[in-house]
Amino acid sequence: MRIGDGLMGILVTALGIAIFWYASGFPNTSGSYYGPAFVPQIIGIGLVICGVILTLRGLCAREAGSFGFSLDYPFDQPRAAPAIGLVLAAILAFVFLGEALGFQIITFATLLIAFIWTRGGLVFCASLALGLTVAFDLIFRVMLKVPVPSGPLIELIY
Amino acid sequence: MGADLLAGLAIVAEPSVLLTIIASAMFGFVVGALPGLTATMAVALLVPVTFLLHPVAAIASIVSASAMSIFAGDIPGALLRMPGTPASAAYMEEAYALTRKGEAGFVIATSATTAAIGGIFGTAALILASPALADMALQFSSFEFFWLGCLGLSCAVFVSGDDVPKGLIALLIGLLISTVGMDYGTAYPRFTFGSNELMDGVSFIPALIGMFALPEIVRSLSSTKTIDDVPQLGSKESWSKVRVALRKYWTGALRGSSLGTVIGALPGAGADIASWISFAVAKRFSKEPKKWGTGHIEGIVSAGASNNAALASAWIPALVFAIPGDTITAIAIGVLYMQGMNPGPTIFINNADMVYAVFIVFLIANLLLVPFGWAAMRVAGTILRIPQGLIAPTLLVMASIGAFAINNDMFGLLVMLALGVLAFLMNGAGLPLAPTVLGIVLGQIVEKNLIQSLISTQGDVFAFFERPLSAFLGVLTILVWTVPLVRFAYGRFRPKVR
Repeated sequence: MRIGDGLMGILVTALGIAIFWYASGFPNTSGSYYGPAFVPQIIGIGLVICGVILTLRGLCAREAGSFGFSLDYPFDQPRAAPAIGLVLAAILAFVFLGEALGFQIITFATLLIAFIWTRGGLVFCASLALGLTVAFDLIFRVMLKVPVPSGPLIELIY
Repeated sequence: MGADLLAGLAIVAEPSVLLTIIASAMFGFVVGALPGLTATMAVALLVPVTFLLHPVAAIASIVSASAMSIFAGDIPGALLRMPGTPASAAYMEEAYALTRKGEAGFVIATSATTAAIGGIFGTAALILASPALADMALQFSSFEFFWLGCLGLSCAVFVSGDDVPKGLIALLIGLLISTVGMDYGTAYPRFTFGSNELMDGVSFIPALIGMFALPEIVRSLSSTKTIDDVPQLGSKESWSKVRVALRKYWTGALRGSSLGTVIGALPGAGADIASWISFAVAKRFSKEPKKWGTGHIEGIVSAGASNNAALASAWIPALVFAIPGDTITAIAIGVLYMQGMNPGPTIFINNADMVYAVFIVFLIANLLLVPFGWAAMRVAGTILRIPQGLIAPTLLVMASIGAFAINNDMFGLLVMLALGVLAFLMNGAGLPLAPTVLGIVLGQIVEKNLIQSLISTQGDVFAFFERPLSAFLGVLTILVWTVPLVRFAYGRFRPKVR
């Protein structure tokens, strides 16, 4: 993806204004000048200044893409959308289904789906996904004592 | 000193101690090479084991695991563009660019060798100058720490490329992320939006994984080109290139080791700041500025040495004053107390042989980096031959479990995802990631010391220049910002020679 300087400048300026405005609502219970809003407001001002510089640069450049965005390699490929979908789905599955299903099942499912999509061959992909799931379980849960949720497999494992 | 040194040598020569060093090195190597798992985590995981060990073996396990995991953190950065540690993020882009040229073995071998050089340099400083350096470190107040933090942040902007406004935006985004959570002075929750998980701020490691790993995983899954198209250098050629690089950039290795030693000795500074500052200084004084960013080894030589030098010198305040130089030595101090070796000035009187044994362990642990580096180099070739279609999903799972493992909390995965999206947008806008990372790392340190200093002087800005050390660091920081501006103005307005 490519975002033009002008567009980025506008976004950064807007972010700076939003930060400054939001931080001005922080209560200063300490009574000094250096309350919770002090540093965020400096950051907000800095973002506005830099955003304006980028916007002006975009205006001066007068290039076609200065205030737009485009997709470049590899995100212009047909594989990009499913790749982003796969990554998002896997992370959200770990977050929202991790406790119920357990990390082992989600790990296996993620690897199996991704391997089949990228390589094909069900038996090879399933064997590799299973082997890696067992390896991750041994490294993280057994060796490094990371308390990963195990879901319905908990009785089988412990 | 001689008798204590011999007594220390006798303790270390025990087979159980030697075995502990090697086993801990292997453990540190595995943990450090896994993205998301840090040297601190490797040490923390070893603490329960240390209860069962002889005091020297217990400390040896910590020293050995931390030295190895800091080095091993460079491996995923070089091979997969996923930094294993915040310190290795400083030179990851150069390392990865070299890998794409077929020089992965050269990068890893250089990293291992310079880490060993830096570690031995830091250990020598630890042995010879502990009291003097610790004394200097204790003179640092909030003013000096504020300027040191600013110097680190400035370095991040200038090492990230020629586009200073974009570097500055990236830095401000990092600083903004560091303000999330309870305010230092008033404990007011800032930008938490009602989330309890954000009260302690944005967890750094999931953020690091998200910023570097997620865009790379998506890129790998979307791409049809693979890195294994590039033939990699063999082991023999890689080592001969290391020798050439060390002969050429020996001053960089020395400078990185010295900077790492001094910065590591400052309580709270540590290997991360040392690495970033060393990388920036190497870039600033490089005779080949055009090679930077295209896969240039000079910065890796300097910053790689700095990492492990800082790791060793962080033990100076820990041993002499029981003040932790970083999180690893904070854990080590606890282990020292539990083993009856009370750190402080008296440790050199009451447990002199033990202290010298620890010094010898440092030397051995750093020497072990070279054979482990050789092994990593052999494995690197195999890893790079694995198709991206198999590596990317595996990394996705590793990154997810790594993000969970930091706080044993699913929220780490959401932080990883959010920062991954941010990094994706930043990549698209041409904003460098390095200043954002350093902004997140140093933001709280800089803000805390700024507020502390301003409150203590009731807002007197000149107080930041009253103490000699503070004035020196302050002027240095201002020079870092003004010299490029003056040069730019001079270049723009000087009369044109016909």
